[in-house]
Amino acid sequence: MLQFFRSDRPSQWTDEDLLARYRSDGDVRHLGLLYERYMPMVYGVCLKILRDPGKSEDAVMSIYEELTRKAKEHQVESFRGWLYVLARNYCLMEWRKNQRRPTDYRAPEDMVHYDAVEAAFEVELPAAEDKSLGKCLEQLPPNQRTSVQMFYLEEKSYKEIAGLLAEEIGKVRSYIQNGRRNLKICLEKTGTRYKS
Amino acid sequence: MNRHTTDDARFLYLLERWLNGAFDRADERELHALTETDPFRQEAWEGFSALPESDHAAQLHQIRRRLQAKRSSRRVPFSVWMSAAAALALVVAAVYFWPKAGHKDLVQTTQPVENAPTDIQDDLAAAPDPGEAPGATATRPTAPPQEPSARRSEQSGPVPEYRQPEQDDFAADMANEEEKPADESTATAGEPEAARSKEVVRQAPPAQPQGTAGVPAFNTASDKVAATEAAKPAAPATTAPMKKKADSAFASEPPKPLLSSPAATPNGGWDNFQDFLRRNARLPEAARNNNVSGSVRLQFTVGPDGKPANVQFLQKLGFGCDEEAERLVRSFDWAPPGNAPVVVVVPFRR
Repeated sequence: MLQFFRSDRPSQWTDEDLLARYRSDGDVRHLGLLYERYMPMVYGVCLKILRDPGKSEDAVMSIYEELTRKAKEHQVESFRGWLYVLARNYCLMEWRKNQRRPTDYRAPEDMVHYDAVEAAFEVELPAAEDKSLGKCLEQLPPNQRTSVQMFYLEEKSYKEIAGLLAEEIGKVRSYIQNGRRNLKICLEKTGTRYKS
Repeated sequence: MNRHTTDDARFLYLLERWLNGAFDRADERELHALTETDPFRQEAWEGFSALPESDHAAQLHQIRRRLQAKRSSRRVPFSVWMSAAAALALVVAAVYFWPKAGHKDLVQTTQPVENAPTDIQDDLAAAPDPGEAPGATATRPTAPPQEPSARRSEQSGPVPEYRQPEQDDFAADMANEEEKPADESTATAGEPEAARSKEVVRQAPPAQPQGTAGVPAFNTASDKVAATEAAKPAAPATTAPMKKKADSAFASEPPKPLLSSPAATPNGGWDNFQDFLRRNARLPEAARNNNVSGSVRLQFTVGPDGKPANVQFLQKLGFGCDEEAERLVRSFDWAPPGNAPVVVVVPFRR
């Protein structure tokens, strides 16, 4: 009866409620609903480790399989944290399996870190020619430079930039990301460090 | 309550904007702050941003489809589906032919109809989600003829865009039936009565997702395919108010604005197609010999003949797998024809 007042639809139940229900009646709809809450994040973690949409998709499916088994066996305190570890471990194992084959992995250091660039834009708005940000911007390939400028200085959305450049949104995402990375490298080379 | 719930919803919302292009600098700042405070979000974001050009939205949509297919195939064995379909066919046939036997017989069917909503509610109340019809059982039977249908539309009120066509027809049916003179309804309850109410129960499941804000996952049995199919046309309409709610598309609740495009579907439904792939996607000899496995992703549009056109490979495996995947996809008819790209993943297993 308490259930009636606390939450009237499964989509609003807490993780723990859904998990408890799955454990008691074995109904995969409950576990499925629970898993779908985190599915995009699980997929993201897999993408990070496997760097491949297809493999990540398969991994997300396999993790669900594993979940249906393990959720019954283990006493889980926090589903979210537990799922994160489970997903991560699964993908790392998958990755190790494929290690012998060469893949186009980039080292994790290439990952986008915002701090340096974002801070620089905060300080030097609008970028003056003589400042290092302006110089670094100039060194970027044209597409990256325009995209970065439009995104940071003119505060345009990806969609707007894509329209102006007549490019796909995916391309714009890529330009901005690479532009930002290149900017960061350039800024660090010139010895400029910004703290926000 | 999970302290991450709100932040996760926000994160998924921003991620969705990142994918659909509405993303701007303010979003980026917020996303950055959200990823800094939690390793799960952090790693997920690093994953997405590592491949900025991929069509993650399509991929997520595909995964969701596979998860749902898995869930439904788990629960009901194929044989049960077949017998259920046969029973439904029988019932439909019975209902179709019955009125032709005479007006009096037709009127008999009003009695069970009045009882029908009771069945539905009992069904709902007995279902593992008791929250669905807490108040409904109270207002139950003994109602005047019009009442049940009124209550129905009330139930389906909150999410009108997710109403399914069958449901509308069905409700209209009900209303029509109720309006017929009920004075003869005391006639003996014959076989058609049983048949009718049985049909009502079978038709009932679509009402359930409406009650649960249309969670397609919670459809029961045979209506699942119809439900997901029917939900699709509604999707474009919901893409517009993207900004308004944080937990829309990614939070697993049904409105999946950008994740479900009004793309073509295979003849016989997705479940059927996935089933077909599972049975027929065999690794070609060459691939087996070269220790290759995985999935082929392809994208295509549907030509006027219902066959895939402009087939592009988003992910190839080589060694004959790509050709085999294309052959499998071509062996199905697709509808409706159009330029909306369909993405299909053909998983090859050892």
